Amino acid sequence: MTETALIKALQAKDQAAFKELVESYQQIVFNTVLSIVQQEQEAEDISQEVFIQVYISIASFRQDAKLSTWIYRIATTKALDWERKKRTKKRFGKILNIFGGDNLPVDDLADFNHPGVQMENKEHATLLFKSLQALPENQKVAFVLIKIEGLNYQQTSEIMNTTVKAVEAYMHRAKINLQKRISKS
Amino acid sequence: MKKIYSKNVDEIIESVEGIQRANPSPYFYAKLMHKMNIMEEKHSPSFLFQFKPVLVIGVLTVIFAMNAFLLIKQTNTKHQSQAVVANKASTVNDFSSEYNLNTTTVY
Repeated sequence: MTETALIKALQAKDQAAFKELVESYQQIVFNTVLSIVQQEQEAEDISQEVFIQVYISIASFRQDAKLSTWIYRIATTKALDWERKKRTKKRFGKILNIFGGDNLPVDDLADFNHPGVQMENKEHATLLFKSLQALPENQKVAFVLIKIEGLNYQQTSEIMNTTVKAVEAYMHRAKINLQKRISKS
Repeated sequence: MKKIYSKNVDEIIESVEGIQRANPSPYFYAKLMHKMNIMEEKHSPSFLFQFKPVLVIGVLTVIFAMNAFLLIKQTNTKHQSQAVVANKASTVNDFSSEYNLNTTTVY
């Protein structure tokens, strides 16, 4: 099925088309979300929410961008939203621990092992993903899309709704920040 | 602590070169459909909206008419009972005055 035909079928709420969409895009959505949130179960839940959002919003999809670009956009937005909520919860937990002494768990991420990393790189990749958590959102998204998803600068700029120059700047700063953090560890 | 040199830092950054995409669980689609079904059930229209608007309006009109009828009937009954009470009071007064049983006492 061509992309236009798939979009038309999705807009008509065709279940077979939706199944085809999920089967075609589940890997890229899950991999992108997992690389940002770094927790497999949470990544799967967020990926499901991405497809639910696609199912709901496809009627208003005007095809200004490619379907994959639009899905990547939803995936990165949902993953970053989850991170923001988690940060807020963590801060709130810390404040409660200071004032109330409730000993609420301040949920820190355990070391993350991406299942797609080659065996000989596992140790280094764990350290890299830990450092990646501290990057500003734009730098993190650019790094994930280019280095982990393997997209080029043009595709990344379309997903991030910015220019190629801006993506280059994000990547440059991301590498500097990662070098700083890794050197400190 | 082991010092990480700049060459090593670059190696760490490049450690994701050639990374394979991670796969979700094999039941991803089934779980997604289950989640969507639950959501649809939650957002399904309420009991009242499952019927045709004409039927809903008809039933509501009948209920409204019955309410209005009962209200009017109750009001009428109240007026009648007040009249009966007033009537009873005047009958007692007439009877007492006729037999000179007025309770007016002069000390």
